[in-house]
Amino acid sequence: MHYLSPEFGLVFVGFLWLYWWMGSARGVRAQNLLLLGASYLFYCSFDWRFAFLLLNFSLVILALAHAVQGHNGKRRRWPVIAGVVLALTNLGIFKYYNFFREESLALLTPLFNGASLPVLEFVLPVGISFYTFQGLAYLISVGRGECKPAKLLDGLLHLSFFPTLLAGPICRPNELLTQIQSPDERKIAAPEVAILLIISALIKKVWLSAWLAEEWVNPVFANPDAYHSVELLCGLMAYAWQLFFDFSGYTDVVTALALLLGFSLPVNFRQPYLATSLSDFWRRWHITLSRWIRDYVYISLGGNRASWTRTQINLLIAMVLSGFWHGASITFVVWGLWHGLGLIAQNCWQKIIDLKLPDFITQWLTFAFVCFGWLLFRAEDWESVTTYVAGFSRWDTLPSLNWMGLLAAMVVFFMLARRAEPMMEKSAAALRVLPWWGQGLALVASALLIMELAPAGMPGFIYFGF
Amino acid sequence: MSSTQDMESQHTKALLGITFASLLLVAVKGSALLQYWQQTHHILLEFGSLPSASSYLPDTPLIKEWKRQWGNTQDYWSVVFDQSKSRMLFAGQVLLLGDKALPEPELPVVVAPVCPKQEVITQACPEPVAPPKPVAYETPAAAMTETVTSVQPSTATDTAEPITTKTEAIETPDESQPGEPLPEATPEAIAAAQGPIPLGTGDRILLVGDSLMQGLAPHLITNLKRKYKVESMDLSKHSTGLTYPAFFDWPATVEDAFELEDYSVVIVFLGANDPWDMTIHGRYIRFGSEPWAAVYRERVARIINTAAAHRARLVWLGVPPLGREDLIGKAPTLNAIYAEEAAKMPLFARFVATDPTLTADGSSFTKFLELPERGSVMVRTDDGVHFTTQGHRLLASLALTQFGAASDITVPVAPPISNPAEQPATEPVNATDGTDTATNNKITQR
Repeated sequence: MHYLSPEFGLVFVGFLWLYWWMGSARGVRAQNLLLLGASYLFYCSFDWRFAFLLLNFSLVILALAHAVQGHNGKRRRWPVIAGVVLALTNLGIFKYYNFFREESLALLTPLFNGASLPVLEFVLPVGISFYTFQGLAYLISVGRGECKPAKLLDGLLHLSFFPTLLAGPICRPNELLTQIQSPDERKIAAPEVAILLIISALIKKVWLSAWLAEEWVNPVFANPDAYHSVELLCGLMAYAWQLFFDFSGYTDVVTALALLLGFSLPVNFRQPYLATSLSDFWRRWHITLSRWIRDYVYISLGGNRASWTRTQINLLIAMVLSGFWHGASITFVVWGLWHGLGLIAQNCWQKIIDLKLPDFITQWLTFAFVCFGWLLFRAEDWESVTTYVAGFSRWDTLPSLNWMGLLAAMVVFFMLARRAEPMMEKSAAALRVLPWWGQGLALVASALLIMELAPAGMPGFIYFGF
Repeated sequence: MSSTQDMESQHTKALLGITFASLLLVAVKGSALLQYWQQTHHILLEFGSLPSASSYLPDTPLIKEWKRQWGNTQDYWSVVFDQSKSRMLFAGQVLLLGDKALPEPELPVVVAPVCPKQEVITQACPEPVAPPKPVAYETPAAAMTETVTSVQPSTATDTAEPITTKTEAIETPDESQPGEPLPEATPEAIAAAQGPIPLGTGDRILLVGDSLMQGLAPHLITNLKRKYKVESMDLSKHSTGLTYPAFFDWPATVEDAFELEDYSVVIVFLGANDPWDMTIHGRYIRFGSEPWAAVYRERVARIINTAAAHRARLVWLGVPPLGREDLIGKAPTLNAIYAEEAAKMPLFARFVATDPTLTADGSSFTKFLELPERGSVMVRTDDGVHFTTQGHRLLASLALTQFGAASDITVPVAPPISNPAEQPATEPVNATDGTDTATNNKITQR
């Protein structure tokens, strides 16, 4: 069930009544139990085997976390190492086995005729990349002494909390777990913010992302040979914005769902395309993943404590691993490499020429760099990338898409991005004043308007494939 | 405690707001929801269809006037929007390409004057006919006009007129009116039609299908363009098929497409969304039964007939074996229908089975195929329905084997059409193209 589907919406509304009645009748522990059951049921709706895998994974991680605390108060190291190895192997088998198999066969077959690796049919459990990282963050935090091992049910809920289960945000123990464990009565902190986030998500996912995909991204990427160079550039920018709307729209929905359940989730996006440098970009895009990579890969490798050269190498490794996490394909690794090299180039610039360019130049440079990175992200294989890039020299085809309209839309997007936060605050304040039926009406009116403007069909979640 | 009560009343308010919004949305969008439900879960709800929200409003003149005004406003703004969009598109084209983006000026069609031919008299004089009774004309002028008008009709039937200065003479045979009878299906013609379909520059291909075609289309389009320099139009749409015309009507869409453009080839790849029960006029028809097949067959035939009526060739790709639990074993039923309907139009339509190419044993769902030089490769995705890129490439090369370059294909002469006098446009006589019989045959054979 997708979060923005009618089935999920109706079931969730019913669930909300049950959940809050449970809270006032039986308290927080009962609510947690209800949430745990609902989360596993939700995951079962995809495939009961996924839920079984998740349960297995969670039990192993929780047990290892308890094993960290030694008899004499010292913390053991082996549970954390074992946990990391097991979790990454688990992730590797489900996500990367076929990738390694095909790539190694492609390399081996010319040498060893008849080489074959066993064909293992693995179905990729939805969200495995996210809950693996969330589990590892918990285990490593316990290992570092930053938090105490959780009780069984609390820990299970932390790793299966259905709003964050499928595609994040990747929560730290001190963000989600502490809210789960807190004995205080839960409350909906700001219902109008939840409604606003749902409206924002509808605009981003159902309308803008779907419009960009249908009108621009899908035609251009499907058949780059048929388009003018300017259209190819516009297609790239359209994809950049489509990806942002898609993922941040999804994040808005789950943040709203969590708010309605009384939880507050960490921020995942902060107007990433206004970033003034590549490092700034990674502080604004998929923030929870970036900080996971920073804290558990980059800093573990040494961070910037060693020499400058070593720092750059650490950066490169971290970015390549981040790319690889996104997908089992060489193009994702190259995408990570692209960003890693870009960061290194940026650091070199700062080291050699300490010139601070004005913001609007750096913003455009960063956006252009990121857009070219997205080409690698979306392309299926290397051939698609070269075909696309070759098209940039094509200036004599008749453009068949309204590129001026797209550029105008981009200008509007950038302008809105600058004003995003004040706009959200003012809208929330306006909604707060309305009575409950007024808020409901506002939601319905927005939803109907968006459905009118949007292209038809159910929007897919790009990041669900991870 | 009052703060608890406050919190609870805040909860209740929030919950009420959300619940109210959900119920209102369901009420307004009920029929769309039912359609979505049918499409996604293939369970037909017994309600039939919910009435639309607007029918709940009372039918007073004022409401009618509001509805009319609302409709007018919508129409007006959609026209404005479309116009702005096409103007921006044109402006963008002119900005980038300058003069080359401007459409060619429409030159007025000048008909070359038809000079009366100097007829060489080879025959003996005809038998003298008794002179007609002299008609009493009032004025000499009246006598003149009478004679002139009686002469003209005979010249029209004699010569094949060089109609225009453009090359429309070659193209009119292709734009045959759908009402004209189709060429005879002689054994020679059928045998000829089974060879590779000729493609040349200027041909347009129409791609019809569901999400499987959406994945296949880019490969087809790119390869067809590279090999034969033809342009394609991809109309494929996710979740569509022939079983639920209320959701999407493919026969009507294909007919509309042919109204807008003259396609030479149609490639159809449908069926994966179709093997479900239907409800027709309240009657529940089970998938696989005779009534179901009859209804489905009629829709398939409509598409094939549209192509044939426009003299377009049609390639119907068979549904590949499906691996999803609720779809296993259903493909052969659909493929049998496609094959039979295509066989009814052998000159234009052909059914191409995809099973042999995509399976190890010819009929069961295969996820990994042994490919030369790449070993065992995943061709179907985990959902048991869709294809990976490798799978799409395989399908595309299968589809491409059906075509050949027009210049390479020599086609035997088609049997002459029975009544040349009634159909002057299809006569293989082209005043501008002299004695090129090969070109003539290509034109009539399409």
